[in-house]
Amino acid sequence: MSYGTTHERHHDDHDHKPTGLGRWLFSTNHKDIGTMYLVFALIMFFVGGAMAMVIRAELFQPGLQYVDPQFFNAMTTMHALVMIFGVIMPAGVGLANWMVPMMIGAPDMALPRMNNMSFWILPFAFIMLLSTFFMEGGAPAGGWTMYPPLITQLGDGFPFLIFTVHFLGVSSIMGAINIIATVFNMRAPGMGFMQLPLFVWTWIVTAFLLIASMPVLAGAVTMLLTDKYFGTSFFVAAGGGDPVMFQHIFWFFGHPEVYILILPAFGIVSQIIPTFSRKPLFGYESMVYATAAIAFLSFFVWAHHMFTVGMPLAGELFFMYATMSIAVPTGVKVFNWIATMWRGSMTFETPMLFALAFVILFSIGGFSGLMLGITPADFQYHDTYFVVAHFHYVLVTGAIFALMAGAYFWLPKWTGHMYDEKLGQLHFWLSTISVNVLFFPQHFVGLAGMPRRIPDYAVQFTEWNMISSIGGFAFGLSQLLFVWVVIKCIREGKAASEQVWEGARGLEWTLPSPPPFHTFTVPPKVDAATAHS
Amino acid sequence: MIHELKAAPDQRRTFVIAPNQSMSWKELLLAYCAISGVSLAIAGYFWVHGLTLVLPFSGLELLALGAALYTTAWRGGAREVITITDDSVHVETGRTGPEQRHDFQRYWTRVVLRRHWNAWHPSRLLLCSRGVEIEVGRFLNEQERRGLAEVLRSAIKQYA
Repeated sequence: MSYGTTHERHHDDHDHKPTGLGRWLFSTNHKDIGTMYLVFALIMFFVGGAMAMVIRAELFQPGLQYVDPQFFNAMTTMHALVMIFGVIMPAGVGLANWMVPMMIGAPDMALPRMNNMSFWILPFAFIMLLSTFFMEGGAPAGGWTMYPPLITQLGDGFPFLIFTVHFLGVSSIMGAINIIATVFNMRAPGMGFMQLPLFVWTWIVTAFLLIASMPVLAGAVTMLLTDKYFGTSFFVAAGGGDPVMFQHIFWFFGHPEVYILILPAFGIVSQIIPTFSRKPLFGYESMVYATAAIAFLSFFVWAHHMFTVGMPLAGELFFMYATMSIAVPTGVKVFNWIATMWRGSMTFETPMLFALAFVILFSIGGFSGLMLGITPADFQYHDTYFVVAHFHYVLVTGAIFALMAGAYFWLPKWTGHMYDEKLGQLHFWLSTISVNVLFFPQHFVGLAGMPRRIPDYAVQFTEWNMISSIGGFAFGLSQLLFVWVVIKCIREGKAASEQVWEGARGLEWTLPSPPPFHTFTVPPKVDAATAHS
Repeated sequence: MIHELKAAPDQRRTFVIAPNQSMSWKELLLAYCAISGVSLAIAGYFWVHGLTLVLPFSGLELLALGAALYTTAWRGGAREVITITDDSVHVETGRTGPEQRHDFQRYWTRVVLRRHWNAWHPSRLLLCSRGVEIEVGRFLNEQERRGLAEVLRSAIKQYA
């Protein structure tokens, strides 16, 4: 016989929980660390957002208004670094920390102390990065891609940039290792790989991508460092090196990185849509294989970011067709989400609204990506605002919207309170309208030839830039509402039940809301009712 | 996880205590080799093309991954078997087979759950007899350990 019981029997009688600052500094609890990741990501969202506001204020009209070109370029570079490494990745890891152990019925992450370290590296790394604003030569301004020789002309901030990238890489790798070890070793009895919730699957694949691609970035930036300070010539043409090779290496990391950012978003949406459609996810297995296929293909498409640097015709063709082929598994996913909703008993609470917006708006980003993948067309679009519009549709209305959806979806579980639905919906509509006002016009100015990463532009682009800036300010302000919804939800609100949402299925919904400090101290049994939704 | 084997005809009770382990060592090794193969192939490709600094980072990362998987698998392989017979309590610990064995007289055996003064630290479950103490259920979680203490107390008392 087994003494396996569910949490209800014991959860509240011995729920020891450390208190004070020490709870957070030395925490090894996956929920506390998840919370810290999410709060950190939210703070950085406003730091990176403030930089975006500077960019949009400067671009409100042609001519130089508020900042000099060097600072403007620093804003674009730092905005990207902060949003990618400081917001989307930590928010994804935060959600994984909170939800993966609860979804697989594990008491915690496999390596809790490493989990603590991987979080606390982040604030130090970003303090280092942001301190470059006050250094001789200013903050990095050569683009987040750090192409040499431009990036090596950076002043005292250069080694700080390189070590920041290393620290962020170490943090990500530790997170990935922890997720792999947790999911491999700590699944509840009866939970095979094909019973895992899609969110867990997308995180396993993301962890593999991190393991495969991060050393490439680490090696590339170290070679930049040795080129600048130790006399090597990996990327120095005068010494026999090849600066274009850096671009190849960077994008060999950079394109899988795009999927590192978006795959967890796919996972979140795959949890939400079945819940609010009150139907199981359509084509679970094909979703798993599509996720793996996207990850696999992501290693063969990197050069579509650099068609214009020149490559053999065969190379152009290969990378064009490889890029196109990613649309197939992505299309499978979009089809499955729609098929899940088909004839479902749908309701439109805030998480579902964000998830629906994700499906539609991410698809727009996907389609503009296909346009950019066509080599001859890319020669026209490259380095224009069309590219800016494309990746913001993927990363803002894609990744950020999915993270917002996930936050609203799981907030009642985390806090034990329902959030204010009216305010949530208001946040959704303000965000969705403003984000389209912000980014859609950038397709037009891009197609008309407006280049990216410039503080000034030809007067013909003025109107659309003004509209875009107004959308940007509105989107930025709308996010303050999100902060208020979260604070309100933590402090008050209707008590949330265990299941929270009528259609929710999975182990995490068998726990009380909020879950006790220690959960699943006895592994639960997985059956048809608690398997993936 | 705590499992009790089916009661034997002579009324002995046997408890097997093991950490939850959802993947076998062989499967883990296979997964590790697959991940390492991909990562080393990428690093090797760059090495051949003169970009030598990718490989050391791949190596470090794979070492860390290997250490993490080994640690969790090693933890997962531990077993403790507590057998309570009419007049004795036997505790066997080991991995692939019994490596250590302790025998106590049942009548003198006490089950002690010693809580740490700091709530952050786990309690310790001890079997004590005539000045000898051995700890069991180290790899269990707090709730499981407390549950095991209750079960052992009841089982030992039941035959006393």
